[in-house]
Amino acid sequence: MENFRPWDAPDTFGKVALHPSALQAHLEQWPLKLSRVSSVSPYFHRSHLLIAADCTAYSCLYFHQAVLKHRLLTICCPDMEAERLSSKIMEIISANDILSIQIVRMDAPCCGKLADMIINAVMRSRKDIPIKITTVFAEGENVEGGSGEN
Amino acid sequence: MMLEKNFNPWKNFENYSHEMFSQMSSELVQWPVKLWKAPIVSPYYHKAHLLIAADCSAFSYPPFHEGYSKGKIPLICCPETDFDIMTKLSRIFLNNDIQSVTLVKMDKSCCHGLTELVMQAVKSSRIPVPLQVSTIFVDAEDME
Repeated sequence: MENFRPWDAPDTFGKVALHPSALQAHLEQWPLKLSRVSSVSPYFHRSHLLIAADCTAYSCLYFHQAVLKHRLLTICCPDMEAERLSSKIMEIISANDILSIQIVRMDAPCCGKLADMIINAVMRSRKDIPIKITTVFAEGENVEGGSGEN
Repeated sequence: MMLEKNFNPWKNFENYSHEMFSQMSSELVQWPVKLWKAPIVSPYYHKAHLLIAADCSAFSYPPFHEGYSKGKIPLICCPETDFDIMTKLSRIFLNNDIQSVTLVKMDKSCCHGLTELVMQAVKSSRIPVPLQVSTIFVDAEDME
């Protein structure tokens, strides 16, 4: 990797996959988990964010081709991490220049807070960020409740 | 793959890929997929091949479904944010007739403890269950 200088051209930083191959995920940054990612990151600069629930890649066969292309991915579980998540999302939106946000959530009730949190954060930041919400429907039989019976 | 400079996500249908409307099933058998929400006893665990995956693994490896998930019951967890992975797993192994366990984790440091946790859970069940561990390597810059 010769002369990799990300701060020389911040507008296009991260927009080129370093070693493109057929199996390569369209990932630019690590970590993926929203609670672990750093709030200020050169990858967020003028990026199209994709905030996905953890379960979506396992429920959606063509996740990478359908929604991930051209977008910066972060994942989270809104049910487990609700409080941490809302403050983190606020930090990221206010500290960086985000161009758009796409939210991918499951149809399960535990994903309900995700869209609300993100919309609130965008409204509070008073920035003009378009938001799109995609819902993935899970086909597995719901055995939640501990006993295996509904 | 170069990201287009003029990528406008809001132009209707111009950047909806064909796969977005695909009817192909992901063949998920049981819901929930998250380990902490999954039941301890379930009809789908009977003689099942479990797939224990780190949250990030399917997002990092596009052919995840054909490679790992097919024919298996996925249970996803994050060793960094989840509590009591080992306890939950031991209970699942003790109460059900599991045929095999496949563990998929990332090469990053936060996934490091996962192998040990799963091995402890398998040992505590005292049933000989074959365990396979796969690691996914990601070539992305670490901005933690």
